[in-house]
Amino acid sequence: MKNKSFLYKTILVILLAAICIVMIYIGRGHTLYFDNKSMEINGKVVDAPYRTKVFVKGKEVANLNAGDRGMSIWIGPTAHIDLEVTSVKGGDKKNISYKVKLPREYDGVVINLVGLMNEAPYDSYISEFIPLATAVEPVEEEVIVDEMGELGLGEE
Amino acid sequence: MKNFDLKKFLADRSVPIMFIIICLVCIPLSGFSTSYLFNEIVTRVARNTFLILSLLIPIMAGMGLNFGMTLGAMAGEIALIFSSDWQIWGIPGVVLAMILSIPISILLGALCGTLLNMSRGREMITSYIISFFINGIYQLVVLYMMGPIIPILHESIKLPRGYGIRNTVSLLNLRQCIDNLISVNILGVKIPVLSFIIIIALCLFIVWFTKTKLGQDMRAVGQNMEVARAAGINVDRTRVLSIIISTVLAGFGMILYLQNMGNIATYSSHSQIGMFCIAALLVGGASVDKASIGNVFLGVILFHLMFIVAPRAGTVITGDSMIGEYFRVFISYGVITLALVMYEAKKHKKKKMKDGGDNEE
Amino acid sequence: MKEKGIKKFIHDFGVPRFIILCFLIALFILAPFVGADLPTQVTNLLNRFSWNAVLVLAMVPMIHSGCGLNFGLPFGIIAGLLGGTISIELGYTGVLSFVMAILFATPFAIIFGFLYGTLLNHIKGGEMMVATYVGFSAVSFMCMMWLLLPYHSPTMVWGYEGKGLRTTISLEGFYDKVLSSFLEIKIGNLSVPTGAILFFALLSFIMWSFLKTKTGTAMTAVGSNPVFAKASGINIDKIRTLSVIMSTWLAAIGILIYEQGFGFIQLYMAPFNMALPAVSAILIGGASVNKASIANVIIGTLLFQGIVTMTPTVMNSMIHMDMSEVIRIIVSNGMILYALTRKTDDRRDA
Repeated sequence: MKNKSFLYKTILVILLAAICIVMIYIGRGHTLYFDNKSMEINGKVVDAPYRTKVFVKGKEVANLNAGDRGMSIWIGPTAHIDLEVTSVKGGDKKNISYKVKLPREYDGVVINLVGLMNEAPYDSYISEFIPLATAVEPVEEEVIVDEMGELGLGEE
Repeated sequence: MKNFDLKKFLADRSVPIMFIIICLVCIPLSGFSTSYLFNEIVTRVARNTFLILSLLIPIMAGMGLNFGMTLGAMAGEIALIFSSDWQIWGIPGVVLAMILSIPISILLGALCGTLLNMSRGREMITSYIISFFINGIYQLVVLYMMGPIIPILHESIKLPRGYGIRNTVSLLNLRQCIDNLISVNILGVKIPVLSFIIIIALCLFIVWFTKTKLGQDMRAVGQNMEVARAAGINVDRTRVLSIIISTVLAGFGMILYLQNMGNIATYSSHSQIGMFCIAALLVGGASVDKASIGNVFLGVILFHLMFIVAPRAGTVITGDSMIGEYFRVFISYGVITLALVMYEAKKHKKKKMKDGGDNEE
Repeated sequence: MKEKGIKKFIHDFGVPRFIILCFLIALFILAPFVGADLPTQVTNLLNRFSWNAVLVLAMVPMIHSGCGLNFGLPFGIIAGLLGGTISIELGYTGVLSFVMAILFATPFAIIFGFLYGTLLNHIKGGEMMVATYVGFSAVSFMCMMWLLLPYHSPTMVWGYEGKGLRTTISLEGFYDKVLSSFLEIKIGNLSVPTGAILFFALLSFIMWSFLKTKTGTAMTAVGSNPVFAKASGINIDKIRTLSVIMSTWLAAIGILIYEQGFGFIQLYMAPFNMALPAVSAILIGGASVNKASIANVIIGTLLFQGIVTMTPTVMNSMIHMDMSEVIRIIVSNGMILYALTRKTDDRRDA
């Protein structure tokens, strides 16, 4: 009897731990930065298309002219992005879908769309976004609380 | 005969009736539109009900109002700080935080339950002081140990001095992820369906729990400890378990509450939560030794309706915006005081009758 | 053999109390090494002692009569605040304003104490929790009253509106330091607020001799052995009410003394925070939920205020971290928790 309940408890703990790990895996959030910029692939400079629209989960998140950068967020290890590419002004629109594996350790991931579209080596079009170290600490953001917090009564 | 029943009916529900009257007076004075009020109420019910439900089980076990639910809230906050630091976003972040909060809640709940067993007869004041004491420990951990001892990856949630957590931790990336997942809009009122499903699931759990062996034991302990002990129930263990369950649920509740708010006020989010949840429960007609799921829902609606309309109504009546603010604080404390006095007076009277033939007073 | 003696001593003294004492001694030893000026520290300590001691003394009567720790201290404090503000409103200044403040506070304290005591008689056994919330309700009720009552004195009301009391009112020209500066002794950096300490001594002496009177012993009997007290014909409810009135009055006087030392009247939410430090101070001094003496008050206030004044200076210069606030929270609430979970003094209610 006692053994059985111990067994149940162990299974429960293992199960919860497993869910934890799964959550950490599928829940890792990244900020994605899309660069529609020309880049060098295998020693050859490839120009950026005239305009690229980026869709994430069916929503347009960026409309990039050549040389632009757009951003979005993605939760999970592999980002699904759809591109609508216009190579030259007034030219035909081409829709392409991509699945991009995101490096776990990067909070912000810069994806060069030109590299992605031309099947450049993974490392060459993925880089970590390092925010500019601003000299001054940002001002403490406003706290959103409901009345329960804002009264600030008599707590020791 | 019928008249007598009506009187008793009204007397038993004096607090909710009083609140209905306050709200009926204040709503027209405040001048808020109906759709605004409905929206606010729905949001607040979805945000707070889970927390208030966590109070039910200790009441069933006869341990009174669990002021120690703050402990669970703190566990939830610590878990959310981690999930936010590891950049786990969206629903996975919420689920992760819930799981992480469980061990902390169990630990704190066990501590609280054990201390309450040592201070039988004055559980409430003890749980009240425990919440302050653990708040001190919480500050020690979050303000001094997070950084140098407990690893925190991101500088952005640390204080500029390099250790300790900022006054606010942003939960932008899991803000309202549960509320928005399945939400419908009915006549301009946004209804977070998933949040309500979770709340209803908890209600069902509580109903089911009262029917289990442990639930029955708790009820027996709540009614009479001596009898329960004679019946072979391990009273101390049952009481500790009721507090642990309540603390874990409070932790979940706090996580749901904060995902709705969208950020953690690291050092103040939890401090008032116990008081407001208890006040809301009591407004719904619960007492220190008896509370039902119905009380929770009635209470959360009435209490928050009062909270929304009182400041504006106060401004209209007195011309001073602070009056209404103080008024609702006074009402919150007043309701708790009233419930405590009624409960203790009843207990005192019962005891006197049991002692028999006592003729002082 | 000897070790057993020490162990027994620590046990009787209470482990947490012992830890606190060691902590404080360590602070005092460390203070000179980190460059803190000892006379200044002692002056600080004595000052804070003189501000707070009467508030701690207010715990004594209710503990004696078995009403438990007076978490309802804010109730008495409100009486004191009313006394102080009325005295200023009526235009008294200087020493006279202090005397009048006490005079005005007294009837309020007696009425509040009577009501509060009567309430507590109906809920024997559950005093502490109810007391806490009665205090809170009273404070939040008074928050509205401070805005609504017809005060007009320009030193107290908001300048631009001409009504509603300010959150802090300066006592300069009124009873700022009236006791502290009376017979003040100054040697270099060390100064002793003789007047305030003498006043406390006077009140303590009155309390001490009261406890020796017939009513006083009856009070102790009610607290320690209610069955015996009833058998010997003592009117328990009356004695308890009396003890609550005394506690409330002392709290009212206590806050006035605190204000004269501090230099400001603090209204609105300020009284909320005042019960817990006083409660933990007397417990640190060796009192329990149903036993307290004047010595407990003095030792407790010194220890508690010692920690409050010493930790910031010593900690700051040692590890460059101001942990004093956190330490204060943990120490004071830990002490209350310890007292509440002691089994020895459980059943005492009638």
